[in-house]
Order: sequence, then structure tokens, then C-alpha cells
Amino acid sequence: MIMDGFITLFDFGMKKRIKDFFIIGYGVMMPLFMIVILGYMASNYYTGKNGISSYYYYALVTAPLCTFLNSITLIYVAREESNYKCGERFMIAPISKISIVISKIIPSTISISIFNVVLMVACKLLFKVDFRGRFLEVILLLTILAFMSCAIGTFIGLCTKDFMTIKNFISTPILIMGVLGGSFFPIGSLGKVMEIVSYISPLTWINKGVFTMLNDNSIKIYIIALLLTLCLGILFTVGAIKMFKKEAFL
Amino acid sequence: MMSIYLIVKNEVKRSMKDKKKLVITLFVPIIAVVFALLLNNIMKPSINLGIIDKDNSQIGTSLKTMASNIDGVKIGEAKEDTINTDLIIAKYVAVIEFDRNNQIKLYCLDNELKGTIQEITDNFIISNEVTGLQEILIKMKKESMNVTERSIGFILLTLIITCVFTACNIIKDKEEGTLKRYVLTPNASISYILGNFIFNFITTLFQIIISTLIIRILNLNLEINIFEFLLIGIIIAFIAASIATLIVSLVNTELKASLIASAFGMIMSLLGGSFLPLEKMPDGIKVISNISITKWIIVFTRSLENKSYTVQNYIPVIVIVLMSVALIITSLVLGKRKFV
Repeated sequence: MIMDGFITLFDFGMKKRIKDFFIIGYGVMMPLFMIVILGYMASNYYTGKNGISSYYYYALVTAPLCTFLNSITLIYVAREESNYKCGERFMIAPISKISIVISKIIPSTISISIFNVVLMVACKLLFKVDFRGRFLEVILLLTILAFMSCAIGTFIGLCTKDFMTIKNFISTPILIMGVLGGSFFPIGSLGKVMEIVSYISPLTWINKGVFTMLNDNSIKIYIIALLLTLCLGILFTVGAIKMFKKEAFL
Repeated sequence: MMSIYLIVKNEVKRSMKDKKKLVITLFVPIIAVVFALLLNNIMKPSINLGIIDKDNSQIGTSLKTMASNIDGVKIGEAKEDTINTDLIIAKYVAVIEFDRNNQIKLYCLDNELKGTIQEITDNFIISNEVTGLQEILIKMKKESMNVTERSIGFILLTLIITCVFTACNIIKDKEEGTLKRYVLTPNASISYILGNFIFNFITTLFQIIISTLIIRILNLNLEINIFEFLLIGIIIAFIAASIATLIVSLVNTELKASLIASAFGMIMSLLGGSFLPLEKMPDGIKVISNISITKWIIVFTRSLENKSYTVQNYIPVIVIVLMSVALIITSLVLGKRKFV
């Protein structure tokens, strides 16, 4: 009852998302391009000692940024029915609201995670990124981040009135969060004020969590980042389910 | 000319209708410009050294006291369990660990810097004097940008992104079929694109003037005078509006336009050295950086800071203006495709 039609929608969503050009672009092409360019630009800033090279740095900070950028893709995915003019069918079909929302978030999260695995393996092979036996932990955090990004994107796409305006502005706050999270250059040297401000970005906790786990063998920040990201993801999913009205597809 | 004037007038009227959007598009860039300057005023170049002194060794305490007295050197209590992360995220350039037997362990990701700091600590043990940190600071200041230069880089980045939001009107007009109707009138498509460009330029200019006034009121510390800042602002407004016009002529959705603007602005900033000093980048990047508009604007800002007003120093401005004109002409040619 609650999940009426979920399996069918999930199956349909999975088939579409796995070949979604935007997800492949943000998942593999864009991060690889960024790692090569930024890694080369900053190559003199890292000695490469203990496996800490500029490529190592950018491989670990670019993957979360690009995963987060997938929120933009999800805004479009959320309004797919409306774009394909099949909203009326959804209105009269016996499909629950939960099924619709979940069937958008889960297949996208799975697809993004698959591409994240491909990206991380490519980074390991191409840039010799050493995960120090914590490959699965990194993938788990990226998967939870993918879930949060999908939930935020779905929430904006389904539940906001000014969807048309927001979809154009959304890349800018994500990029600002990227800057604050150190996705373009390490910002630790910018002082205490900047350090405090940077904590508004989820990418800051995620990047810090991954670095402390891999380089200082401490999983405290990693666990905090994981839980906060998961909580935000659940919050936006519940918000999307509560606020979504099928009329949004019209 | 008349049709260009009418397009500009129409755009002004149109922007006045949606008050919420007007506030966002007009004042968000102003806030961003002032915020960029305020933030850059807070961020002073400094050497951040982390110290781990578990046993409160005499040598550690005395190095801490003496080094922290040097202007531009910041000493922080580093944590043992995050040493590598703090170095990777550049919280500290180096971490010095002291133990009870006055043994020193140095952590640093930069080989050259590691050698210099090692030398400084070795000298300190012998002479009990901190020498050499000032030299690193001078080198750092030489390599990195000052507050004004960095702020100018950020302003260019911000205005490229915000100008595209304003320029997106042409994409909306295409979607709503307004351009189809316009093409049936005796007016040329060139007038429409030029009218949009002029409106965008005027809006950005207004934002620059307001920002300049705020900077004047807040009395923010700049290495150039307020009129020079205004001059640079006008140049930025011109190039940002022309880049925005070209981007919206090339793409057909607002999302693509905003993504391209963000990516383009970021690449220009990175190549212009706004984030990481160019000095330490590979030679190939230094050569490529010459195509960065950010770099030229910063070169011009530097010449104004040095009070050198020779014709040679105005070459970057001439190049930027010529480039803007070339971008507008390209937009006029490419933008015609939208009028079908």
C-alpha cells in the first residue's frame, strides 16, 4: 500500500539512471578531467612523499564535489514526468507518494555509487592513489553523500515553488561549498575565521573525514561526517515525501 | 540605434516587474563583491606553524614565544592525531614536534620549505634566535597576491557568474517564442543582442558603483585609490558582460549557461593565480596562464599599486577591451541562430 508501484518504478528508474549522461558526466568524465588539470597545476605543492601527491589530494576532494553536483541532475530527474508530459497518468495511477520519491532517490544513488567505484578504481590505477586498505570506507561515504545529494535534488525538484529559478542558481552555492571544502585548493591556511565558515559546507567534514582516516588513522571525523550526511539525506527524503504533491507533475 | 535603446528600455521595465528577482540579481552581486573584499581583508598571508610540545620542553616553549612575536608568523598547537591531515589541508605549512630530550621531529609536505625550516630550528638550538622566517614571509608575499589583487580576482569570478544570470533573458525569450516574433519585425537580431549586452553592462556598472560607495563608507584597506578601483570595476563589468553575452549565445538552456559560467570563471581564476600562486606552478601552466583575463586584470592592478602610469602598463586594459569587443562580435554572429 505504502510502497505501491515501487518495484516497477525502481526498475524503470534504474534502467534510465545507469545510462544518464549527466550522471556519467559528473561521475567519471568531469572528475577525471579536474583531477588531471588541478593535479598538474598543484604538482609542485606536494612532494609525493608517503603517497601524498597533488593527484592524491584532488582525487579525494573532486569525487565528493562531483557527487554533490549530482543534486542538479536530480532536480531534472524529479521533474521528468512533467517534462515528458505524463504527469496526468501518475495522478490517476495507484502509485503512492513514497514510491515516487524513493524510486527517484534510490536508483540515482546506486548509479552514482557505481560510477564512483569506477572513478576511484581509475584513480588508483592512473594516479596511484593509495587508499591504505580503506577503499570500502571511502566508497561508503561517497554513497551516503550520493544519497544526500539525490535527496536534496529531489526535494528541490519536487517540493519547491520556484523550481525554475532555483535550478539555475543551484550550481553556484554548490561550487561555493566546494571552495569552502577545499575542492579547488587547500584552504586551511586562510585562517581561523575561514576555518569556522568552512564548516557550513558538508564537503569540509567529508574531505577532512577521509583525510584523517587515510593519513592519520583516525575515524572520528569520518564517522561524524558519515552520520551528518546520512541525517541530512534522511531529512530531505522525509521532507520530499511529506511535501510532495502529485500535482507538481502537471 | 533606436531599436537598441528600445530593447534596453524594455529590459529595464521587465526587470522592474519582478521585484523579488530584481533584488536578487541586483543586490546579491553587490553583497558578494563587498564580502569578497571583507574576507580578503581578514585573510592576511602568514606562515602557520604547528607545534607539538607534549613535555613543555624549554626549547619548544622558547621557540613558540619568539616565533609568535614575528609579524606574520602564527603558531598553533597542532594535534598529534591529525598531523598529516593538517598538512594536507594546509592548516600548517609545517609541524614541529619537540620531545623531552630536545629532539626535534619536523613534518612538512614541501621539500624546499622543509629544508629551510629544518635550518631555522637547527640554528635556533645553537643560537637561541629565530632567523629565516622573515625571509620565508618576504618570499611568500612576493609569490602570493595582496588583498586588493586577490579581491579583484574574486570580483571578476563573481561578476562573470552573476552577469550570466542577467543575460539569460535571451534564453528565456527564445523558449517563450519572443525571438520568433521579434525576427518578423524590421529590427535586426544584432540590435536585440546588443541591447541585452548594454542592459547587462549598465546593471553590472550600477553594482560596481554601489560596491565602490560601500567600500568607501566602510573605509576598507586597499592598495589602490577608490577611483582606480572604480576604473578596474568598469573594465571588469565590460568584460564580464561580454563573456555572459557570448555564453548565452552559445547555449540553449539557463542551466548550461550557469554551469559554463562557473566553470569558465573558475578556470580563469585558477590560471590567473587567484587561488594558488602561479610562481610555484609548472612552466606549462605559467605559459597557459597568459590567456587568463584574471591575470591581465591583476597585472594592471599591480601597476596601479606601483603608481606606474606608463602607456605600457595600460596594455592589459587595451587587450581586455579589444577582447571584449571580439567577444561581442562573436556573440552577434553566433546569437543570430537563436532568431529562427
